Amino acid sequence: MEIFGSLVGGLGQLGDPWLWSYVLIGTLVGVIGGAMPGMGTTLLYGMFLPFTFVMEPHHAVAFLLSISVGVGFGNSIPAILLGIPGTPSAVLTVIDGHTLHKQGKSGLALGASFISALSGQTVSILFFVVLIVPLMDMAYKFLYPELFALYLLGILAIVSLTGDNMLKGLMAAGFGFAIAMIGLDPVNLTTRFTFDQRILRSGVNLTAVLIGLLAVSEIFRSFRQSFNWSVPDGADLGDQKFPTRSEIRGMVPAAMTGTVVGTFVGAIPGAGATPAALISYQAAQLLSRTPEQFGKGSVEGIAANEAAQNASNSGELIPTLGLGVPGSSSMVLLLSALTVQGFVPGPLMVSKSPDLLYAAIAGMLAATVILAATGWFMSSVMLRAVSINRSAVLILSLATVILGVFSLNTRIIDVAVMLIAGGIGYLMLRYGYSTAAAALACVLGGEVERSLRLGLNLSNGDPLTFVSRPITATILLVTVAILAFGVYRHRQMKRKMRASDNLDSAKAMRSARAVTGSEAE
Amino acid sequence: MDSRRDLLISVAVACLGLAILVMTGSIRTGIARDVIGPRAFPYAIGALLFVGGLVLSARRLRRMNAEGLFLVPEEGTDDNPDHPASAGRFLFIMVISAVYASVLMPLGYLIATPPFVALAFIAMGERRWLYTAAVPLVWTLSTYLLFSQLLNVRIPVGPLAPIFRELGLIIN
Repeated sequence: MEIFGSLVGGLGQLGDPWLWSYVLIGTLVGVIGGAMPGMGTTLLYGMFLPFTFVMEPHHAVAFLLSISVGVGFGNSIPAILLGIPGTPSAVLTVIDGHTLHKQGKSGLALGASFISALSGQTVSILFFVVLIVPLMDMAYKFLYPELFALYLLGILAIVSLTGDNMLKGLMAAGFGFAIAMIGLDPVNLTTRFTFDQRILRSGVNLTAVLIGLLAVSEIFRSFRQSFNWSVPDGADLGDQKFPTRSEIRGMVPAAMTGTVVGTFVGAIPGAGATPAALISYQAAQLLSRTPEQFGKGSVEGIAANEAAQNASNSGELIPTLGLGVPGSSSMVLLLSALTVQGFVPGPLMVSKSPDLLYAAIAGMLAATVILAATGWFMSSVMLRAVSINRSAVLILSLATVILGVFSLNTRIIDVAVMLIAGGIGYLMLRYGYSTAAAALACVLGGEVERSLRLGLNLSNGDPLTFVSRPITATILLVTVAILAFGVYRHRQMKRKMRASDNLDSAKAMRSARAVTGSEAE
Repeated sequence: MDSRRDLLISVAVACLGLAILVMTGSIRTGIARDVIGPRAFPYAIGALLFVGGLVLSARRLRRMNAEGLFLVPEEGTDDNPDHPASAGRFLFIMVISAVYASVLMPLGYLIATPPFVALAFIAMGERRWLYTAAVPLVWTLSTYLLFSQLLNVRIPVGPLAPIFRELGLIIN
């Protein structure tokens, strides 16, 4: 497949009015949800996933991605105007954006966020196409040993990069594998862990488990506290003047830095928008002529951060669509939506159905266009989203996911599975077991086992096949490197926290997670 | 974070691992050629959970003995420090969600949903009675229409089924 052909295919889908309708709804949902603290992409995906099952697959992809694009911008609005990050990735926007707002330069801060989100999204789509097409061409070289190594990389990367305790992350992945083992064995088709119940022969409904682990768990956790966000009396929107041309020129290098870093960091399974934003911010500070301004109302800081958040949307899609390995919780749900539609996750998924790739490009482009047309106007209106009754949002979100999961197969057992998974997910969130790792292991567990066993069967039981082939060896080396990085990062974070009581980045993220919810990316 | 609860969860993880190890022995092997068979993976996962759970429990116990503290730094997601938190509220809503799921088929969506949503509102401290009554009703009706009429999902209506059938709102 050619890069140019993919772009043309994506642009071709923009002629579909239904796609525009879904993307319009998705973008608005994303901006409103992003502006509400605690409502991130994952939760919104969980709520709206059941609606995608009645859509065409390419519409479903475009709709879900437009939600991500909307969230990337929406979360900056309360961050700048109220100092409340909509999602953890917006925590650095608070530092510079809210400072500018207090200086009476709200227009400049909102404008920087708006322009950077748009440019980051648009340019990252090009990066996405340039990076995913070679991956898709490589897909046919992936046999069972390569697939095994790839899936293992995806799961261990999430274990390594999410959560503070790697052993707990590993246990979470083990729990996900255990769920994936229920039902028919993927090679011999003998039953496992079905307790002689016919309903368990085909396994538990994975979509219900995933929505439970990733979305319901967060809703349950939020029920612990009853309060409302509010716009303080007399809170003004400051000046709403759009930035001047020279101000825009000044933010371009930082936005480009954010775009490049955001796309690449987003492509690492387990990384996502928050590390992308943090690393971009640091990189932009290093390259800036005025690094001393960072943290004190730097437009460049906002530009790098916002561009990185939106670019990471495209980055996360690279392993998800290119290899069938989702890079974040929301991508696990996207893949789950495609699985329900009959697609089999794996490197061949998009090669066999290029429409999915075109839909991803079209969805992100259309959402960017809609955001360009409406975002500036929405930035002042969306401040009201913060003051929407938090309890009502939580309760009606729970009611929506219950009805949505029930409507999958009109079976109460699916709702029960989702609630149990939500309860377990709640405990996992509270005690530091990564729900993302468990969800990913649920999705990929069957494939990991199948590729391991079929690979061993084809090589007459020779395990060296799994390390001697060039692609497999490379992937396994990367896996080891990511694991080593995870151990190093974990130790470094522990040392930092022991050494200092100051607000370091780990603590800043921890407090942001307390405000916005852990999985609210 | 309460370290005793964390310990309890680690022990539960170890027990899950042990249960998987025990149950794996009864998995039947297939007739197709298979180098490691259907038991290898469950054994590996069971062992991982069992050993990992034990290690986590041992670590937690050692720290509890050394520091004599039950409250330790959070490893999971903290509550918002500016507002009181209640696990009871979460538990109550989880219980009414389970009850709601169990009565959804016999009572039907239109009858079961409003009390569920209203009870959840009350649990969250909502005391505006008109709001608590009106929002669930409007919500239930609008989502019923959206799912049943627009998305063509068969939503159970329980004892209202004969009336709905007569009105032509459901076909069978």
